Amino acid sequence: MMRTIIETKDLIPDKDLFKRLCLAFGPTGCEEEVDGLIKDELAGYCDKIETDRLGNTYAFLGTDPAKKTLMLFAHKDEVGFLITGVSPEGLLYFSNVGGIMPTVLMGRRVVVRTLENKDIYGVIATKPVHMLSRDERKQLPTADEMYIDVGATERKQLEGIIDVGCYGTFIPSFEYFGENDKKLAAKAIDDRIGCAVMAGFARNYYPVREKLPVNVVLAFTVREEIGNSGANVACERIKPDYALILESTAASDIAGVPQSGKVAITGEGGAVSFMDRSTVYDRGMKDFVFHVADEKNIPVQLKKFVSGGNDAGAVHRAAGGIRTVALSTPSRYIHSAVCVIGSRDYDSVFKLSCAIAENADLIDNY
Amino acid sequence: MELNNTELKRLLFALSDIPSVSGMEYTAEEALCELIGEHFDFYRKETSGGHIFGLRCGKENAPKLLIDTHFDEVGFMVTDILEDGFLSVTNVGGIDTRILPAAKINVYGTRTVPAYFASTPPHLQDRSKAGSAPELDSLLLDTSLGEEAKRVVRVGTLCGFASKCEELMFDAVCGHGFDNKASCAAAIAGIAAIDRDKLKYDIYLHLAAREEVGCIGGRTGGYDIAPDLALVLDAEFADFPGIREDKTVTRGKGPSLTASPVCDKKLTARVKKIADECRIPVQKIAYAGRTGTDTDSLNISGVGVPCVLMGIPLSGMHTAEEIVNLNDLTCAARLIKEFAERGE
Amino acid sequence: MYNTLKKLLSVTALATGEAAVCSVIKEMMAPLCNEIYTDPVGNLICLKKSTGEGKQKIMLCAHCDENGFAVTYAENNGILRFDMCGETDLTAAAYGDVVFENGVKGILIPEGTELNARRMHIDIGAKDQKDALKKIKLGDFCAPAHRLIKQCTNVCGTALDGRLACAVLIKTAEALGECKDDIYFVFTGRQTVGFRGACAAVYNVAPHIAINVGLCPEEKCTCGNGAAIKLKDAATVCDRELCFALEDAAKSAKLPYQFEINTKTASEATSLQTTGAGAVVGGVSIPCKRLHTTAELASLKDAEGAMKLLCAYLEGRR
Repeated sequence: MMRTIIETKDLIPDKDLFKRLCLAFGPTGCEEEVDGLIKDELAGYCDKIETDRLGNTYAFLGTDPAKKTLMLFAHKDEVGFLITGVSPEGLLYFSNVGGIMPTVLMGRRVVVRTLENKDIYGVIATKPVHMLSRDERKQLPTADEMYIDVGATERKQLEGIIDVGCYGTFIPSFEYFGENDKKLAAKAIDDRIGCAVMAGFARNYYPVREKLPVNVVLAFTVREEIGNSGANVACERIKPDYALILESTAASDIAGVPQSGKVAITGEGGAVSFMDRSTVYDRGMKDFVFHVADEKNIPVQLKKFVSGGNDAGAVHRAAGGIRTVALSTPSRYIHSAVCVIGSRDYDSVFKLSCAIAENADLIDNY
Repeated sequence: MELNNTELKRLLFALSDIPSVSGMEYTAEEALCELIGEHFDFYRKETSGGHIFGLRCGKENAPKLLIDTHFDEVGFMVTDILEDGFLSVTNVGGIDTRILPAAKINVYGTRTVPAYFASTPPHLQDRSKAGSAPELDSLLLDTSLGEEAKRVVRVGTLCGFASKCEELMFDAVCGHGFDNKASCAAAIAGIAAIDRDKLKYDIYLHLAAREEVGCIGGRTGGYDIAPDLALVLDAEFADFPGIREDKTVTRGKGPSLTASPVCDKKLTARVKKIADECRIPVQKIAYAGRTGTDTDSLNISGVGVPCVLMGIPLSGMHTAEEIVNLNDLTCAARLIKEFAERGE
Repeated sequence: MYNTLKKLLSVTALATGEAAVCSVIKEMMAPLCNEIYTDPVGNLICLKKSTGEGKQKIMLCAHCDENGFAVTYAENNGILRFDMCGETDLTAAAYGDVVFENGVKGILIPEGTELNARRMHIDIGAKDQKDALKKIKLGDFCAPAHRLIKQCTNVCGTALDGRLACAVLIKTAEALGECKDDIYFVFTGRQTVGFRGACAAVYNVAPHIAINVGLCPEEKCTCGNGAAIKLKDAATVCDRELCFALEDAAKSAKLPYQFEINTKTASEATSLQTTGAGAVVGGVSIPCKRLHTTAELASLKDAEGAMKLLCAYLEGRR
């Protein structure tokens, strides 16, 4: 029999924060703005909050040494661009921060944060189609063959404004659409959704944290997108017993894709992987999550494909090994200017995360 | 120690002469202690074969500053001993095989013996293979030791480039292993020049092992030392015709500071500010992901280490004739001294 | 050695399902060790203590998981889609039997001439999706059915990669005489998916010296010519003093030996070398023909040689 501390229907997700987090500027290496929003939201809703040397932030709910520790992970960073130089013509050289396909970059409008912390618009310029050779038309350019045009026409104009080391990202957006607004399109859902779920958890459970069967540490991590994750540092610091990774994963429920190719479906709840490119997940933990979802009647799905990777890859082998499971919100067009998720999936993932924490003492039975 | 090009050159050349192919760095203990021991309070070895030299500031609970400069260089490992003292070898680290034929190599056996990579003269070369890079498998090392080879060399013996350091024009110098002995020289000189009364940190200079075979020493050393902050020095690509300007830095215009998600922004800004205040020229370069240096593994070792990555512009990386400009080393040394003396 | 190997091959165990084979190993190791425990990610750690002075921790490790497949989808007609869990050679596995960890049997069927996981399926004889999902769940693991043939002094079969090395560890524990150091025999998991279990194991044991025991392709070494001392593989350059010490041990015990210089495959040595504060890392390998196929061939003499070499090295340490 599963424990209930707060009735599922009484749980209140933190939707306003979710929107603010998606709109915030936070490519890998630039997580401060997102961190600030989270800290403001959590003030007064955790026993303590601390930030480590890399920028991972930890919020503690319950500090009873007799209890085991469940650590929830969500990463604060998003994919973006790093400015690597300014060309003599005043165009910005850039490299992708994290994996971005050239097709979602070409001709797109972006935001670049200047040396004075001002956000300016730019456009990703490519060679005009008219001037492409027949071979070039068939080939996609790399980031090295694209430039960001911020309006300057010579290098001098940008002195003191933009320099090597400035960051950029896609333009902010957050919009519900479709029949009954059943979908949400926004920048950086990967992984602000995880951050928002964790913040919501703290706001709901702080007053009743003593009743939780485990201590919960919420880890808002840095640098997931470049594969040089701060997550193993987080494990080394906290040494949790169990880890729940809250992520966003690629959905492919698009017209024309055969049923077997629809690996995760938007609108049908969070996806649990049994295996991806970075992890073969703890089988007991996986079974536990499905059991909890079943008991509490919360939608959840199995991710039916082996692809991608996330912080679990670093976590499950850190600090002597940690039992790890990932709950990911399926998102179409991930790593582009718009990630599209099922509007209700946010609630499902949030509620399931809460139910998992309420019953985390049962994990060892699986 | 005076910080000038003459001192840096002396140190760099001396370091270049100490054999340190990845996996044999530990054999340098004696030579290193003799060369630089006087500037430090203590010495200890690191698990993967690196060397840790420490300098205490004498203040209680002083933050630990790790200065990581990998000490190893690329080279070769003997895989078989053939007739007349020819050796077959495999690479240790990334090697450009195009430059090897007829190159002089030191074989670090029971004694160090010279050898040359065998080269087929153009007259005898198979026409169909002209124009393609040789495979390391097909290149044999000629020791001409005959039967003695088996007494001097065993399978697993390491070998490295043997070129002697030399001066070029305009303060440039060439030699082997400048990736990363140039950084080692700059770090050692910088630390040796510190005014102890002003020192704000307990300094751990880690001459790290096995960077060229997977950034290993940086990671294990970081875990072992558990520093509060770290300065990593490594070679950075210098300008080359045809490579886009944002991918390289210029020799002689000072060390570079790296912008990257794996480097600490605030710390990097602090170093830049110190450089500006002291009128030490620095350049900038950016890596959107990993940097290919010890920084990548060091910064996520243990409970995390905020890192600054400083680069010494270097041409001909991983060849027997790497080129650096002594002015860059001197500038880097001055910057390290200033950083250590100024503290937060 | 053969009998031990045979016992180890009596169960199918893929990454994260190592508990099945670990229970077999545990039974054999229990009388030989002072302490046995399993860490959070399923590595089995067996300690043989010593009373020696100035003793060090030495860890020997071999992986106990095997290569195979993970089921990702059941089609309407009952056939199963899958992805790779490890690096099974599909040429050899095509049209062969596979066995699920729960015992269900199937056949691996290619759909054309191109052999990759996307162009193949597993047929368990189910008539439709519903029928299939009664027998197995999505996310279940299976591996090519084990076979083991003794041919002269060689063994040929499936999943020798891993299990034969485990057998070497068990026989070493059995044969090992007095030695000065604490010896940790570690049976690691999740090796086939990126040497992940070893990271946790080496962190938990924190040894001074770690020796990887495994199978290596016949690149510069040959089956039957003795155990191979690992100098270098695709990810690791071993500690050369340790290599020399292993070679010296082989020489003084008059054992045939050769060297592994391997550009094709990596090993857990990389995890041992880079986790935590690191360790002095080396390896003893058994050369194998057709590694990762269902017809792996290795010499029992080499396996015995590896066992004797490890004993000679460990007992000879002063």
